[in-house]
Amino acid sequence: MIKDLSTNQEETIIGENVQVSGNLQTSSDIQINGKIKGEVHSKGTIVIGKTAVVEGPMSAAQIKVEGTVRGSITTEELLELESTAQVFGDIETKTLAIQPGAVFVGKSTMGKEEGKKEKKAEPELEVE
Amino acid sequence: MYYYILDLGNKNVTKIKEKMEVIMASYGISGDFGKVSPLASAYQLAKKAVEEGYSTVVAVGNTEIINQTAAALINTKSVMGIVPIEADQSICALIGSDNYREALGILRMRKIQTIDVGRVGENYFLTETFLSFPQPLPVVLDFGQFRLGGEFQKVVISNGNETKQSFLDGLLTIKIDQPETRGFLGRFFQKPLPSSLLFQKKVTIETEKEAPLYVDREVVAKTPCQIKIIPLALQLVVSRLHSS
Repeated sequence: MIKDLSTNQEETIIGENVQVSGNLQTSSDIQINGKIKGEVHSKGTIVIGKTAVVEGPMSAAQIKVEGTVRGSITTEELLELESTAQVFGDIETKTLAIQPGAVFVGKSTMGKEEGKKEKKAEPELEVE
Repeated sequence: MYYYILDLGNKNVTKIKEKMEVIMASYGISGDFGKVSPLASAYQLAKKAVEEGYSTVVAVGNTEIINQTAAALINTKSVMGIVPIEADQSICALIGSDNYREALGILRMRKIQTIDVGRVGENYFLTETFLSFPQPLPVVLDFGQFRLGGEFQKVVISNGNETKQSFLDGLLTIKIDQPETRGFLGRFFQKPLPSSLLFQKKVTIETEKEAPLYVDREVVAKTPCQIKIIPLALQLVVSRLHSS
């Protein structure tokens, strides 16, 4: 389970009511609670908070989504979609966890790291 | 050889000068004195001390005197010492002491660390610079690859981090205070909103109207303004117990 980063004073935090445009790239973990238009890339963990809206592709070692993402998501390890998550875009991850109530519209590719076995879901999958 | 820059306009510096001289003699760190005056700023005195070959230049006074002294010593062979008198807590944390007796003890032990320094416009800062408004106003922070905007009340750009206190990482810590959006009861029962926190090498701050940036209580620049980190630019005497 991916932990909440908002109380960690050593990681990047994009607060509520904050708007970011452009390419946000960091080696540290990122907690996003605001709005982002553009790419987000981290070598660590990205947590998309309940109030966050991200429009653009993102990649990280692991990602937890509680808010809204319009764009592709790529993780090397784990992707968690919490019950409040709304994801409109393709996802590619080694391990996927979707909570009941989460909305996912897109194509999923899983387990790429393990013997390149790809498992494709239906083009439009909605879990509610 | 030691050179002490004294702000005798500060009553507390004047008060302890004689006591300091006794301790300095007993520690073997006596030296020459330069007095800050309207005709000679701490920056000018420190520049002169560097030119005259003093190995250690010590700022005795508040954050303003300390920052001015630091600015003159950047990328020089001279080492900086600090005796904080009414200086910010962040400065005290940087050297590992908040009183003059301990600070003189630290100078005697002479553990030298080369640290990062922040630059705002044409000025330098050891710990932090900030932008502050009575009410939240539109502010844009341009980091080159991305821009961050919103209505902010306070933006603090620090050399180091509140928790890590790292002055060696080559990064600025940018902390943006979130305007209070919770209701009256919410302030008592809800957790405070997390601020924005970023770690970057440089940032340009833009505001709709020209706004001042402060170091301590002094205005050092006005928006639009670039702030950047200058890695490993200053040799500073710090406590042996202190690790950045």
